[in-house]
Amino acid sequence: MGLVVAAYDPGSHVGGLFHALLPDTNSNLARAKDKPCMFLESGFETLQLALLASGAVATRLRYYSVGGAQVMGASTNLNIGLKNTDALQRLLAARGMKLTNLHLGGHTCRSFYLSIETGEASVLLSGQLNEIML
Amino acid sequence: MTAIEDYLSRVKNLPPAPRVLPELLKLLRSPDVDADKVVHLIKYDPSLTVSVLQLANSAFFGSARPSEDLGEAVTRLGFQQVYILVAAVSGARNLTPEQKGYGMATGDLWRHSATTAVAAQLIAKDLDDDVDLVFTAGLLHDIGKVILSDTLESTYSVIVHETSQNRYSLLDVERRVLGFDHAEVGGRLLAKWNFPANLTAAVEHHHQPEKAGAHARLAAYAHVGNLIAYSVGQGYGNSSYAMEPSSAAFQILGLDEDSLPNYMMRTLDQMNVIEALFRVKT
Repeated sequence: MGLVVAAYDPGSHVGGLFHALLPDTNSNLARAKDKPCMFLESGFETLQLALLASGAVATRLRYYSVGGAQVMGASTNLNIGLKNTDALQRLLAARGMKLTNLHLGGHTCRSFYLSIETGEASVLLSGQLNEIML
Repeated sequence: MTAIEDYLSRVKNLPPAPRVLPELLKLLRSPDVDADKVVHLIKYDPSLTVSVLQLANSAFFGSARPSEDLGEAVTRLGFQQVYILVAAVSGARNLTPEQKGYGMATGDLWRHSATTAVAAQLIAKDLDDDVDLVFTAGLLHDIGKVILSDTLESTYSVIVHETSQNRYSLLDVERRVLGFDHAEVGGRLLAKWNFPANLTAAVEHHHQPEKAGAHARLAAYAHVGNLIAYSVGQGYGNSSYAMEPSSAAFQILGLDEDSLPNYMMRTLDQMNVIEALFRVKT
């Protein structure tokens, strides 16, 4: 239901990721200040700032996103996975940004891997043995 | 004999009953709780005694002078804190081991169950219901999985395929493979352990609380707690399609579905405290 946003700069080999639980920072501003990566929007800002502070160059950053699965047969109200992916699309559109690659939606839980050394990004779907390279 | 009774009678090594829980719940229901009786229930169980003493002496309770007396520790913690601790420790014995049939690693089922219990309890507190009872229903809602895990191990790939490719819920897959599900087995197990009818019904019907009759409210708490635990990412194991949320559960509790994100955040905060306490203890 939550989703991972990752960014990697192949020039400086600086990368990072966060796992957002909820889409809307405004739903709890105090919490967003305390734990920004719980929310998509504040998490995105925090990740960017952290990477730039560590030597990444903004124009070189490759962005990935994984998750937002509908892991329950949920009504729209309870479908937080869908709300998270919609919020990500809006956030990227507002910034005129595009993801280098993504693995979003669907109905399956997954794990995401990012190699800081090589920049390789991959996804492992629940119950599967082989990772999918992004 | 029904299919479940036949199945349970053939299961070797049924988990040990957390016998102290129904007795302690009953004790705490009385208008004047007798601290000596609470101590009496706990003191014959060494690991419970150690847990209560360690918690009472932990930095969390800011104790300047260590307590070596169980009675003093119980008084210091308060009955509700003691109950939650006893429930969590008793539950952990059964729920902590790896559940291979569900693809759950050591600690996963305990963490999912404790998260469910904490979420349900937070809601119960807001709605002025019995928090101890609700916590117990949440903690034990998946106890049936402990029994079914071994059996399902041989059909692991079927579960993965049916949940991820064919979009059957885990409950449906269990029914298709076994003829019954973990909720029914859990309810029967609690009945076998002589747990009260409200907890037995809540566990048996935690996926369809509206079918729990007079105990629908307690079952609805277990349902919504379960939903929140999955929503914060706890307890999927190999089943990517975990459960079908019941709007009836929200109606039974009079709870707005939009309150879910708020309870997710509060549950995570509370779980951080509980996991820290367990680290203190171990």
